[in-house]
Amino acid sequence: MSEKELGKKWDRCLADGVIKLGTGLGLGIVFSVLFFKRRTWPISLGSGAGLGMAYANCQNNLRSHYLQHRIEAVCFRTASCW
Amino acid sequence: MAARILPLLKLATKVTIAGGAVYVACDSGLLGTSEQGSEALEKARAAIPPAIEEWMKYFGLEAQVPAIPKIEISPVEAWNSGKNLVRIRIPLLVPQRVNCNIAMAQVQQDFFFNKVNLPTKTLEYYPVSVIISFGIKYSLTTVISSITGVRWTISSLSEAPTKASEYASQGVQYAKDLIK
Repeated sequence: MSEKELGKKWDRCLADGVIKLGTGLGLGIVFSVLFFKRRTWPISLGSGAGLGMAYANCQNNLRSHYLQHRIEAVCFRTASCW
Repeated sequence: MAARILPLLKLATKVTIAGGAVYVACDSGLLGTSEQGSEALEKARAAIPPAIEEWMKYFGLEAQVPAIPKIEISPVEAWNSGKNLVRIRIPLLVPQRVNCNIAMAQVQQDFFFNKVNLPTKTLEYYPVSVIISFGIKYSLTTVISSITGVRWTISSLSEAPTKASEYASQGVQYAKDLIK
Protein backbone atom coordinates (compact mmCIF):
# COMPACT_ATOMS: atom_id res chain seq x y z
CA MET A 1 0.00 0.00 0.00
CA SER A 2 1.51 3.33 -1.00
CA GLU A 3 1.72 6.23 1.40
CA LYS A 4 -0.78 8.19 -0.66
CA GLU A 5 -3.32 5.38 -0.51
CA LEU A 6 -2.71 4.97 3.23
CA GLY A 7 -3.17 8.69 3.74
CA LYS A 8 -6.49 8.63 1.86
CA LYS A 9 -7.67 5.70 3.99
CA TRP A 10 -6.81 7.53 7.20
CA ASP A 11 -8.52 10.57 5.74
CA ARG A 12 -11.67 8.56 5.16
CA CYS A 13 -11.42 7.02 8.64
CA LEU A 14 -11.30 10.44 10.27
CA ALA A 15 -14.25 11.79 8.29
CA ASP A 16 -16.23 8.59 8.88
CA GLY A 17 -15.52 8.81 12.61
CA VAL A 18 -16.86 12.34 12.82
CA ILE A 19 -19.95 11.47 10.77
CA LYS A 20 -20.81 8.38 12.78
CA LEU A 21 -20.13 10.12 16.09
CA GLY A 22 -22.46 12.94 15.08
CA THR A 23 -25.14 10.55 13.82
CA GLY A 24 -24.96 8.42 16.97
CA LEU A 25 -25.11 11.52 19.11
CA GLY A 26 -28.13 12.81 17.20
CA LEU A 27 -30.02 9.53 17.38
CA GLY A 28 -29.12 9.21 21.06
CA ILE A 29 -30.53 12.67 21.73
CA VAL A 30 -33.73 11.80 19.84
CA PHE A 31 -34.25 8.58 21.78
CA SER A 32 -33.32 10.21 25.06
CA VAL A 33 -35.86 13.00 24.60
CA LEU A 34 -38.66 10.80 23.25
CA PHE A 35 -38.44 7.64 25.33
CA PHE A 36 -36.03 7.95 28.24
CA LYS A 37 -37.00 11.20 29.92
CA ARG A 38 -33.89 13.12 28.89
CA ARG A 39 -31.44 10.78 30.57
CA THR A 40 -27.77 10.85 29.59
CA TRP A 41 -27.11 7.19 28.95
CA PRO A 42 -28.86 6.91 25.53
CA ILE A 43 -26.70 9.78 24.29
CA SER A 44 -23.54 8.07 25.55
CA LEU A 45 -24.69 4.76 24.08
CA GLY A 46 -25.42 6.30 20.70
CA SER A 47 -22.11 8.16 20.56
CA GLY A 48 -20.20 5.06 21.63
CA ALA A 49 -22.01 2.90 19.09
CA GLY A 50 -21.23 5.42 16.34
CA LEU A 51 -17.56 5.51 17.27
CA GLY A 52 -17.46 1.73 17.39
CA MET A 53 -18.98 1.48 13.91
CA ALA A 54 -16.43 3.95 12.60
CA TYR A 55 -13.60 1.96 14.25
CA ALA A 56 -14.85 -1.27 12.68
CA ASN A 57 -15.10 0.36 9.24
CA CYS A 58 -11.61 1.80 9.57
CA GLN A 59 -10.19 -1.53 10.65
CA ASN A 60 -11.86 -3.28 7.72
CA ASN A 61 -10.58 -0.68 5.26
CA LEU A 62 -7.00 -0.85 6.49
CA ARG A 63 -6.97 -4.66 6.49
CA SER A 64 -8.72 -5.06 3.13
CA HIS A 65 -5.55 -4.25 1.16
CA TYR A 66 -3.59 -7.11 2.74
CA LEU A 67 -6.56 -9.48 2.61
CA GLN A 68 -6.89 -8.89 -1.14
CA HIS A 69 -3.20 -9.58 -1.68
CA ARG A 70 -3.40 -12.68 0.50
CA ILE A 71 -6.34 -14.03 -1.55
CA GLU A 72 -4.42 -13.36 -4.76
CA ALA A 73 -1.33 -15.09 -3.34
CA VAL A 74 -3.36 -18.16 -2.30
CA CYS A 75 -5.02 -18.31 -5.72
CA PHE A 76 -1.66 -18.00 -7.43
CA ARG A 77 -0.18 -20.81 -5.39
CA THR A 78 -3.07 -23.23 -5.56
CA ALA A 79 -4.40 -22.30 -9.03
CA SER A 80 -7.81 -23.35 -7.81
CA CYS A 81 -9.65 -20.08 -7.90
CA TRP A 82 -10.75 -20.17 -11.52
CA MET B 1 -62.17 6.17 25.57
CA ALA B 2 -60.09 9.28 24.97
CA ALA B 3 -58.02 8.51 28.06
CA ARG B 4 -57.06 5.17 26.52
CA ILE B 5 -56.40 6.45 23.02
CA LEU B 6 -54.26 9.45 23.98
CA PRO B 7 -51.29 7.54 25.48
CA LEU B 8 -51.36 5.16 22.49
CA LEU B 9 -51.41 8.09 20.11
CA LYS B 10 -48.53 9.69 22.00
CA LEU B 11 -46.50 6.46 21.83
CA ALA B 12 -47.29 6.05 18.12
CA THR B 13 -46.11 9.61 17.44
CA LYS B 14 -42.87 9.06 19.32
CA VAL B 15 -42.22 5.76 17.55
CA THR B 16 -42.91 7.43 14.20
CA ILE B 17 -40.49 10.25 14.88
CA ALA B 18 -37.77 7.94 16.19
CA GLY B 19 -38.28 5.48 13.35
CA GLY B 20 -38.15 8.31 10.82
CA ALA B 21 -34.89 9.58 12.28
CA VAL B 22 -33.31 6.11 12.12
CA TYR B 23 -34.61 5.62 8.55
CA VAL B 24 -33.19 8.96 7.39
CA ALA B 25 -29.83 8.15 8.99
CA CYS B 26 -29.65 4.72 7.36
CA ASP B 27 -31.02 5.79 3.99
CA SER B 28 -28.60 8.68 3.59
CA GLY B 29 -25.63 6.37 4.19
CA LEU B 30 -24.56 7.89 7.47
CA LEU B 31 -24.47 4.49 9.18
CA GLY B 32 -23.03 2.58 6.23
CA THR B 33 -19.50 2.17 4.95
CA SER B 34 -16.89 4.91 5.03
CA GLU B 35 -17.35 5.55 1.29
CA GLN B 36 -21.07 6.17 1.81
CA GLY B 37 -20.25 8.50 4.69
CA SER B 38 -17.83 10.44 2.50
CA GLU B 39 -20.49 10.75 -0.21
CA ALA B 40 -23.00 12.03 2.35
CA LEU B 41 -20.42 14.54 3.56
CA GLU B 42 -19.81 15.77 0.03
CA LYS B 43 -23.57 16.09 -0.61
CA ALA B 44 -23.98 18.09 2.60
CA ARG B 45 -21.04 20.33 1.69
CA ALA B 46 -22.62 21.00 -1.70
CA ALA B 47 -26.13 21.54 -0.34
CA ILE B 48 -25.57 23.64 2.80
CA PRO B 49 -24.22 26.92 1.37
CA PRO B 50 -27.09 27.39 -1.14
CA ALA B 51 -29.60 26.55 1.60
CA ILE B 52 -28.06 29.11 3.97
CA GLU B 53 -28.07 31.74 1.24
CA GLU B 54 -31.70 30.99 0.42
CA TRP B 55 -32.74 31.31 4.08
CA MET B 56 -30.79 34.54 4.42
CA LYS B 57 -32.53 35.95 1.33
CA TYR B 58 -35.92 34.88 2.66
CA PHE B 59 -35.43 36.62 5.99
CA GLY B 60 -33.82 39.65 4.36
CA LEU B 61 -30.49 39.23 6.07
CA GLU B 62 -28.51 39.37 2.85
CA ALA B 63 -27.71 43.05 3.14
CA GLN B 64 -26.76 42.85 6.81
CA VAL B 65 -24.51 39.81 6.87
CA PRO B 66 -21.53 39.72 4.52
CA ALA B 67 -20.94 36.74 2.26
CA ILE B 68 -19.70 33.64 4.03
CA PRO B 69 -16.00 33.31 3.24
CA LYS B 70 -14.86 29.99 1.91
CA ILE B 71 -12.52 28.59 4.49
CA GLU B 72 -10.25 26.14 2.79
CA ILE B 73 -7.33 25.56 5.09
CA SER B 74 -5.38 22.75 3.53
CA PRO B 75 -3.06 21.09 6.02
CA VAL B 76 -1.77 18.94 3.17
CA GLU B 77 -0.42 21.98 1.32
CA ALA B 78 1.03 23.40 4.52
CA TRP B 79 2.61 20.07 5.41
CA ASN B 80 4.12 19.62 1.96
CA SER B 81 5.18 23.23 1.54
CA GLY B 82 8.67 22.46 2.76
CA LYS B 83 9.42 19.87 0.07
CA ASN B 84 10.96 22.50 -2.24
CA LEU B 85 13.30 23.53 0.54
CA VAL B 86 14.20 19.90 1.09
CA ARG B 87 14.89 19.45 -2.59
CA ILE B 88 17.30 22.37 -2.53
CA ARG B 89 19.21 21.23 0.53
CA ILE B 90 19.58 17.54 -0.17
CA PRO B 91 22.07 17.73 -3.10
CA LEU B 92 24.61 18.91 -0.56
CA LEU B 93 24.24 15.63 1.36
CA VAL B 94 24.15 13.16 -1.54
CA PRO B 95 27.82 13.48 -2.60
CA GLN B 96 28.84 12.29 0.88
CA ARG B 97 27.16 8.92 0.24
CA VAL B 98 28.48 8.29 -3.26
CA ASN B 99 31.85 7.02 -2.12
CA CYS B 100 30.38 4.55 0.39
CA ASN B 101 27.71 2.82 -1.65
CA ILE B 102 26.70 3.89 -5.13
CA ALA B 103 23.45 1.90 -5.14
CA MET B 104 22.42 3.33 -1.81
CA ALA B 105 23.27 6.80 -3.08
CA GLN B 106 21.06 6.26 -6.11
CA VAL B 107 18.18 5.17 -3.87
CA GLN B 108 18.71 8.20 -1.68
CA GLN B 109 18.86 10.45 -4.72
CA ASP B 110 15.59 9.04 -6.02
CA PHE B 111 14.11 9.39 -2.57
CA PHE B 112 15.18 12.97 -2.15
CA PHE B 113 14.18 14.08 -5.62
CA ASN B 114 10.67 12.68 -5.18
CA LYS B 115 10.84 9.85 -7.66
CA VAL B 116 9.53 7.68 -4.85
CA ASN B 117 7.02 8.72 -2.24
CA LEU B 118 8.48 10.46 0.76
CA PRO B 119 7.44 8.50 3.87
CA THR B 120 6.27 11.39 6.00
CA LYS B 121 5.29 14.11 3.60
CA THR B 122 2.43 12.59 1.68
CA LEU B 123 -0.15 12.19 4.40
CA GLU B 124 -3.46 13.54 3.26
CA TYR B 125 -6.49 14.22 5.33
CA TYR B 126 -9.56 16.38 5.14
CA PRO B 127 -9.12 19.98 6.20
CA VAL B 128 -9.95 20.22 9.88
CA SER B 129 -12.03 23.34 9.30
CA VAL B 130 -14.34 21.45 6.93
CA ILE B 131 -14.99 18.77 9.53
CA ILE B 132 -15.60 21.33 12.28
CA SER B 133 -17.89 23.41 10.10
CA PHE B 134 -19.73 20.27 9.04
CA GLY B 135 -20.29 19.32 12.67
CA ILE B 136 -21.60 22.77 13.57
CA LYS B 137 -23.78 23.26 10.50
CA TYR B 138 -25.20 19.75 10.34
CA SER B 139 -28.57 20.40 11.98
CA LEU B 140 -31.81 18.72 11.03
CA THR B 141 -33.59 21.94 9.98
CA THR B 142 -30.81 22.94 7.61
CA VAL B 143 -30.77 19.51 5.98
CA ILE B 144 -34.55 19.49 5.60
CA SER B 145 -34.58 22.98 4.11
CA SER B 146 -31.77 22.14 1.74
CA ILE B 147 -33.64 19.10 0.52
CA THR B 148 -37.14 20.50 0.26
CA GLY B 149 -36.70 24.24 -0.20
CA VAL B 150 -37.54 27.26 1.90
CA ARG B 151 -40.88 28.01 0.30
CA TRP B 152 -42.17 24.49 0.69
CA THR B 153 -41.10 24.41 4.34
CA ILE B 154 -42.74 27.72 5.25
CA SER B 155 -45.95 26.93 3.34
CA SER B 156 -46.15 23.50 4.95
CA LEU B 157 -45.72 25.00 8.41
CA SER B 158 -48.47 27.52 7.74
CA GLU B 159 -50.82 24.88 6.36
CA ALA B 160 -50.05 22.37 9.09
CA PRO B 161 -52.85 23.32 11.55
CA THR B 162 -55.60 23.14 8.89
CA LYS B 163 -54.22 19.89 7.47
CA ALA B 164 -53.95 18.41 10.97
CA SER B 165 -57.58 19.28 11.77
CA GLU B 166 -58.72 17.81 8.43
CA TYR B 167 -56.85 14.56 9.05
CA ALA B 168 -58.15 14.41 12.61
CA SER B 169 -61.77 14.85 11.50
CA GLN B 170 -61.27 12.21 8.80
CA GLY B 171 -59.82 9.87 11.39
CA VAL B 172 -62.73 10.46 13.78
CA GLN B 173 -65.22 9.86 10.98
CA TYR B 174 -63.43 6.64 10.02
CA ALA B 175 -63.50 5.47 13.64
CA LYS B 176 -67.22 6.27 13.89
CA ASP B 177 -67.89 4.30 10.71
CA LEU B 178 -65.96 1.34 12.13
CA ILE B 179 -67.94 1.46 15.39
CA LYS B 180 -71.25 1.52 13.46
